Amino acid sequence: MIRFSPTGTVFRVWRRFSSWSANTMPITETITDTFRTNELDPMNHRKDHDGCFYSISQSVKKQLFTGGGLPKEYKELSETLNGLSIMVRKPAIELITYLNKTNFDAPVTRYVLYGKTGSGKSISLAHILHYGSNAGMVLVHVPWVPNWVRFPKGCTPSVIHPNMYDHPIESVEWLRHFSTQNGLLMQKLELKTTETYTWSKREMTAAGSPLSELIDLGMNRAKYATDCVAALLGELKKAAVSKRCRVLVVIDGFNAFFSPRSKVQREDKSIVLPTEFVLTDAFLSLTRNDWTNGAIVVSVDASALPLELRESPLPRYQLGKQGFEHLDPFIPIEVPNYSEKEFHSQIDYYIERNWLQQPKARTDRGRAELSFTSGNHPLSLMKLVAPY
Amino acid sequence: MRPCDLRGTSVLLSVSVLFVQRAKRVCDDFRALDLRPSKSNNMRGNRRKTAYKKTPVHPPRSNKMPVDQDWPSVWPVARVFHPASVPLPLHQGWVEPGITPPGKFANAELMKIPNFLHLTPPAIQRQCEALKKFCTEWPKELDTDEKIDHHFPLQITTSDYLHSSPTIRDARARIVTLQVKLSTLNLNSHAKDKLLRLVKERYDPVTDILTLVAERCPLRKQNIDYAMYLLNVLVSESWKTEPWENEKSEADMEKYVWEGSQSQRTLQQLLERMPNKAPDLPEVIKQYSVNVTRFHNEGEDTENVNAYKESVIKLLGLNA
Amino acid sequence: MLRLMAPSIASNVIVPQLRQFHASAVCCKLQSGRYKITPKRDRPLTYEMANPPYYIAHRKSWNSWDTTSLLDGQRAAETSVEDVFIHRFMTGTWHDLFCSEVIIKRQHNLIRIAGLIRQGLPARKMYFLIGYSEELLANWLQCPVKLELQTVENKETTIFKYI
Repeated sequence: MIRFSPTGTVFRVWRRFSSWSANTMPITETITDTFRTNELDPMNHRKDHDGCFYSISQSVKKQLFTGGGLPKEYKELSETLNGLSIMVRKPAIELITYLNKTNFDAPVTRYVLYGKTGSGKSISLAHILHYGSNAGMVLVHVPWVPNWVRFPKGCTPSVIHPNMYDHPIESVEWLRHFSTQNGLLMQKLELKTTETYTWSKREMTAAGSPLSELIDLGMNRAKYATDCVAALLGELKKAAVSKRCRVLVVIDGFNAFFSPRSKVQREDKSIVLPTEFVLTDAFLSLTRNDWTNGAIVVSVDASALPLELRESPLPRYQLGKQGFEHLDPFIPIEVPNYSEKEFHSQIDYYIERNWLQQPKARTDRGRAELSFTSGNHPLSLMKLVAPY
Repeated sequence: MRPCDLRGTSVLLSVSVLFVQRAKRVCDDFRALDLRPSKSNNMRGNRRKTAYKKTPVHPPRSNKMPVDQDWPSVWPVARVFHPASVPLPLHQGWVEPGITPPGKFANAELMKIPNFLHLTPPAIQRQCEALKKFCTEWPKELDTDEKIDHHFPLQITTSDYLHSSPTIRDARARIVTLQVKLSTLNLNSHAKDKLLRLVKERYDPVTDILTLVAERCPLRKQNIDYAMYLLNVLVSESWKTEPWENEKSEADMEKYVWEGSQSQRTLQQLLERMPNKAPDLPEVIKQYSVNVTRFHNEGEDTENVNAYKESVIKLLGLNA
Repeated sequence: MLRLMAPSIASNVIVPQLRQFHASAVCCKLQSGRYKITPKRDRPLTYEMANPPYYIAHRKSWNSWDTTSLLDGQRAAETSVEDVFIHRFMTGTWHDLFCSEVIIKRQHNLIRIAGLIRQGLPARKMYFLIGYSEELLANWLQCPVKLELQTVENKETTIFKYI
């Protein structure tokens, strides 16, 4: 009788064996067990952890990823398979080594993850996010920029900045996401604003008031939320420069900021470019390298741009002239398809979770067939292996 | 009835013969009535048609041809196959296996197909010999392609068209193609850039050849003159500098230039703010600039991107 | 009982009088250039007649050679009309003497006409007719015309088989 263990993730930290029957003695597995690692802290992930899975606890997942950050299918799959496990891959390891070695007195370095759609950039960013939160950095995380550009829930002309556009609903959501990610840290750091922000004749935030007040104001007053976001980012920058905190900026789908089209239209049906959003301005000023004590990790994806511009996944093409000039000089890091080792460990993971149910798929021949038909492409493999 | 034959016979017989002869002469006064004229009589109307005396046809000439005769004299021009003049035992035609195909006489198929009996090797040799006195020799000094390109950089191509029709005119014969390599024109960078902008897709960067096609005039000579004129005008215009050319901005640049670019400016600003610089800074900067230029001018691919990555790492001192 | 005794006739159903369009099946029969077999099997056929049109370029050749059907060949329609005219003229001028089809070859602006002639005329008359045809055709078609005829004794020499 096959029963899935309801014990959840806690047990899997200690028990490396499949939980077909929860109460029996642990059986020695026939599959290689080398695809998991016990090292749960991303700060310690090194090259020899390449290809191994490490699990993220539910609390961490709730803290970091409730507002987004994991691709939808991956999140659903992790819920089906009873727990979030991320594979440690070379791009993430490379980034972690760079981040560990960074001289935080120098201007911020910018890293750009690029690769074909579905090769694992968002997951690598999630890994880095976990690293940042463990390293005690303030996380500024934008889960997927095209959501703001392509499907804005409501876009209003800005009051403070003429000719620019606000995203009230998205800003509120983002502030909520920010506070869930950094809640504890913010309480510990107790950052204060450095200047006064006047929202209207009656509302203002004085200098020296805690940042949490700014965030709360933004969450309650949707009208000023976007400007709150801009103010918050400015404050964080200044705080980082004055060494009060360290900031890690993680943005997924950065090239959407430079997209030639958006779904927002003015009254006369002309299209508003993403460069005319206040949010774009705020995040672009954050990603400039005129501040220190932080790091910026960004990903460019072909699916973030309209269909005509999806020819090549390489960073210069995806960023366009403006984007490249903004980010130059940056370190491009490629997120490739699976290597042999990574592929096999992914298959082992699926087998262990009993996701690959066909006995033929577990043989060498089956693995070779899977490797060939999916082309070692992570997203294709995930779709191929799904039973629906 | 021949009376001479009957001289040796008996008296009784001679009497009967005489009687018969007399009877015959009586019948010769009237013509015999032919109700159904048979064709053998050759009577058309009331007169006897003279039988057409066929002149005897000579045997074929090929029987008497000597083996070492001068064939080009026998068959000097292209001619429909004539079996009596060709001393070859030819057969042509599809038949069931085992049956001999039809011979060369009265064979329309052999007449239909084109034959090259007028172009045997001795005939061709004779014609070549005759044409040789009109040819001039290729100059010995022009033995390599480079020398030819050096002395004769301009190439003009025209086409002639043949038809089987009463007219020799063809509209396509007026088209003239002029090809020249830009390296032979000795242009400086400004002139070359301006020429390329004027000429657009007529220039092939792989072979460095500019192709001008002239077909707007009705005669070939006029088109040749026009093409030469066009080339002259292009070169002279590209050497001139107009006053509005000073307004060339970064967006008009045909290729990426490191000096004065945004990348250079950001790099300057960055270097000012970096606390610990890399030891061999000018070299690192140079490498970075080379990689960025390559990136932009040659198109992006993984190799370029990796080279760029290496140079940025060195620049930011992350390898340490 | 009564109901059972009365026979159930379908005649109370009214059959509608429909006018229907009768069409026979289409007779997709190829019949060009093919000769029917006679009961006595004595119909004479030349080689050309014996091979149906689908054997052109396989066992038969074309009767008219020119550049009109090549890529960018000019003047196809006028050339065909001229071919028909030449055919009629030749069969008319050489009455009952042609044993084969008229073969027309065009080279540049020269038209060469060939064919098999029965020896039904004395040679002098033939020479006259050759000159006459060449002169008049050249005048009408406005290009040099050359006749290259071959003579045969009688029609029997061109017969290939009897159908």
